[in-house]
Amino acid sequence: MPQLVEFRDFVHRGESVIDQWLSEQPKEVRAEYDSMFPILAVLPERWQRPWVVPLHGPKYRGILEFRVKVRVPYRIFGFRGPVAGQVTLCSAVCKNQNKGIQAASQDLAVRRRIMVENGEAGTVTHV
Amino acid sequence: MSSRSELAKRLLASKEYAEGLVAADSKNTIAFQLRVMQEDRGWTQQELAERADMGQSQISAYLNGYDSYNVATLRRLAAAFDVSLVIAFEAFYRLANRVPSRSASEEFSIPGRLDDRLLRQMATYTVNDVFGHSCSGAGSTWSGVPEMSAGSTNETATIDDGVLTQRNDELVTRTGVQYVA
Repeated sequence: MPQLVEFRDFVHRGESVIDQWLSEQPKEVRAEYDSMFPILAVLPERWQRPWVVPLHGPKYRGILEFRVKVRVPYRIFGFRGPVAGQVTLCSAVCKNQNKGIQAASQDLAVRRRIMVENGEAGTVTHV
Repeated sequence: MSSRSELAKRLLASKEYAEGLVAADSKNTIAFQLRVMQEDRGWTQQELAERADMGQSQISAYLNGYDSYNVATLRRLAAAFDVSLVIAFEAFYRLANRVPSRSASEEFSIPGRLDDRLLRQMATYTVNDVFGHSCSGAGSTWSGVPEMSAGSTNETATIDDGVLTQRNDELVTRTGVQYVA
C-alpha cells in the first residue's frame, strides 16, 4: 500500500532543517525517526498519543507535535500542507532543554508554517 | 521519508545507528500492531488485559511503546489476538528494505486466525506447499513444486487445466483464489 501521508521538511538556506537537526542528535534519534515516520505515513487515522499531539491554544492552531523518545524525549513540530496529503516538519527540539527553548521551537514552527503558506519558503522530501 | 538507499548507507556507516534502528523497529512495529489490532477488534484496554491475563497498566505500557518485551509476553499477546508471532534474526538489508515502505493493511491490520481470509483460501487448495517455490510465470507450467513433480524439486510440473499466473507475490488461479508466496 502506498503511503497516505507524505512527510516533507522545511527548507532553510537550501537545507532541510529536520535533516540538519537530526545530524546534530545522537544517531539513535535518527534511527527512531527513520522507523516511526514511515509507520505514521501509512496510519494517519491512528495519529494519537503518545506519538502525535496537536498543540493547544489559538496561537498554535494546526501545529502538530510528533513525539520521539530515545532515552530523553524529543519533539518535532509540523503542520498539514502545503498541499493535501502532505505534512511539513519545520522545527524540532530536545525536551530536556529549558522551557524557553521549547517554546521558541514551537513559535518557530508557527512562523515557518506562515512562510510556507505564503510561498516565502519551500519544502523538500526527507532523505 | 528516508529512502532505502539512504537507510542502507546509514546502516553501513554506524553501528550505533544500526542498533538504534533495530530497537526502534521492533518497538514501534509492536506498539502500532497492538494498537491497530486492539482498535480493529473494538476492545478496550481492560478487555485486552483480561484476554491476555495481564494488568491493564501493563497493557497500557505496551500500547504506548514499551520496549522491553520478553518472548513469553509476546506469545500471550499473540494468543489473545489469535495471531501468529515470528521472532527471528535477519540480515540488515531486509530491515533497510522494510522500514521505509510500510504497509498498513499487511503489517498492522492483522486478522485473527478464524478471520484470516488467506488462511481459509489456502485450506481449500488441493496442492500443498507451493510456497517458497518459484512459478514459471503466466501459463500452465510451474517449476520446483515438489508435490506436483513426483517429489523432485528440479523437475517441471504441469497443472491440468492450466491457467495459473503470478502477479507480484500472489499466485492466482482461474477461479480467482489467491495465495501469497
